[in-house]
Amino acid sequence: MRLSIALLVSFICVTTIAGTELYEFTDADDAARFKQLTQELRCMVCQNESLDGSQSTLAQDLKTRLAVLIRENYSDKDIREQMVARYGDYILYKPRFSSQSFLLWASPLVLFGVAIWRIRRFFVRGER
Amino acid sequence: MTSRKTVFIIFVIVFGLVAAFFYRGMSVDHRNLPSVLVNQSVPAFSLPSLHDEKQLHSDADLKGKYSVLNVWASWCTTCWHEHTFWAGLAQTDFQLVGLDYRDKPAKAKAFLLQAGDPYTFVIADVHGQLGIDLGIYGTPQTFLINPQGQIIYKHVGPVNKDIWHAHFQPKIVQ
Repeated sequence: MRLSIALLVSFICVTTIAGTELYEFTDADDAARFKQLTQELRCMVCQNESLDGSQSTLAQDLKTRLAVLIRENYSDKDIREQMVARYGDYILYKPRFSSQSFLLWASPLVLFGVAIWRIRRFFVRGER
Repeated sequence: MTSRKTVFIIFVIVFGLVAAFFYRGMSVDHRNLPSVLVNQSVPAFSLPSLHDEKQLHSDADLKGKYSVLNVWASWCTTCWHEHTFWAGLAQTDFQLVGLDYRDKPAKAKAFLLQAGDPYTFVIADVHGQLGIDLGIYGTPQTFLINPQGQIIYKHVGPVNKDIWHAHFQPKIVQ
């Protein structure tokens, strides 16, 4: 029983290691950048999964492309721009600041401002 | 009293904004994402022909006349249904080009042999590399490319008679 569990565990370990070796880097920095970028970019077909977490064929293709671009020394910014040029802003998990996303970024500030104004008025009145 | 009134007005405004936001969120089709490639040149590529591995096709083959680039695959059942539309379409002012996306060439060829081959030529993108450059995340997808090699329209999902006459045909200028 114990032996079979040990075998099962070692089998799982071996298969997961084999799974990650697909995108191997000689440089530790490159590996870290790859990890970071695959967590930032959305897998387009799985709606709410990053490239890092997805096993879909599209995510695998995109990861292969990312690995190539990293090895060819493209900067993170270039890589992000290339991906947005092809798939649009949607591929980024963190939306960029643009005319379309202005409301998204500005609304918390506006609401915060309104709240401060109301609270101030409330206290100023209370003092009177 | 005025304070109560302003609180009420603010509440109504905030409620209205949130309601409008959610209403828009529900009505937007999330599968149909804005096309970033429209008005841009077709990315450079060099890929083998589906029917003859030794023959290479490039972006130059999509210039000189209007091209309708249909992205399909033999594993895509929606593409089978769409195929009957392409097979019945009279090609007078443009060339219909197939992009066989992430497919086994043997299966794609067998499909065309059985269902008919309406394409002027078919590009075999076995590893989906041109697919990435074209921002493809699902099949079928169809691009309309002008004689200068610029993408002028992109349609996600199957093209049918209505879509063709509404979005493709009017843009093909003589």
